[in-house]
Amino acid sequence: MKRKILIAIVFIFVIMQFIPSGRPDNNPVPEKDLLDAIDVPGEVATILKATCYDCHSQQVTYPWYSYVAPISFLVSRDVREGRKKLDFGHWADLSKRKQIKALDEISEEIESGEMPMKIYPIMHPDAKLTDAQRQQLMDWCESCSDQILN
Amino acid sequence: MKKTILTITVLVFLSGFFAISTAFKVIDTQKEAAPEDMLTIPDSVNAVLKNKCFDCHHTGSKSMKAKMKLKIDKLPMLSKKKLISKLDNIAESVEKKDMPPKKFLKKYPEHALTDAESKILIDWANNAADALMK
Repeated sequence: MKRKILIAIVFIFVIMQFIPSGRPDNNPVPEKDLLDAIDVPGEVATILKATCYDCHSQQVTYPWYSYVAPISFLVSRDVREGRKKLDFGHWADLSKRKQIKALDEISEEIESGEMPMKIYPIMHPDAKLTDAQRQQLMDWCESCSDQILN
Repeated sequence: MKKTILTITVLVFLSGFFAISTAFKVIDTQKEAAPEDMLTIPDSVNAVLKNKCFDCHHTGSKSMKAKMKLKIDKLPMLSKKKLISKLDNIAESVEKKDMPPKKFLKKYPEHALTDAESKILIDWANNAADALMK
C-alpha cells in the first residue's frame, strides 16, 4: 500500500514536469530600464537589484529549482504578476505621473513590509532588508519623486 | 499700588498669551489651507465618493486593507506626491473596474458605480492629478 502511494506521488511529480509553467522571458531594453534611464545611487541600485529585480524587471535570474514543477508554477506566477504591477525594465515608458505613483507605492509596500515577499529571502538571503536599508529605499523614493516633480 | 502692578502684569501676560495663541492659530489655518488649494472636490464627485467609496475608505473603517490604500477624509492633508499617487490610483482602479471590489458588490450591489458615476470619478481624478503635475 505504502509503495503504491509512493509510486503514485512519483508518477504525479514526473507528469507535472511536462505541464508548461509559462515562465516569462526576459526582454531587456537597456535604455528603458530604471537603472539606465535615471541616476540611481549605487547602494540603492544594489538593493533594488537584489530585492526587486527578480520579479519586477526584465532581468530575472531563474534559479535551477524554478525549472522544477510545482515550484516553477509559483515562480512564473510571481514574475508575471510582479511585472504587471511594476516593471523596472520599462521604467522609461511610464508617464511622470505613473512614475510618481510607482515610487509612492514602492515606499508604502516597503514600509508595511508587504515587499519583498516573505518567501523570497528564504532562498535569497541578500534580499533580507535591514531597517536602515528599508529607510534608504524609502528616502530614495521620496527624493526621486521630488526630482520628477521639479 | 501693589495691586495695580499685579493687575497690569496679569493683563500684559494675558494679552501676550492671547497674541501668541492667535498667531499660532493663523499659522495653523495656513497650514491646513494650503493643501486644500491643491485639491478641489466638486459636489458631484463628493456625492459619489461619499455614497460609493467612503464606507470602506475612511479613517474609522473596519477594513484595514482599504484604509491602508486610501482614506478619503485624509486626502486634503496629503503631500503633493501622495495626492498624485492616490488620484492616479482612483482613476486607474475605477477604470479597470477593480473598484468597488466584485466580491463586495455581490453582498452590497447598491454600491456599484453607474457608468456616469465612474466617468465623474475618473475624469475628476485624472484632471486633478494632471493639474498637480504642472
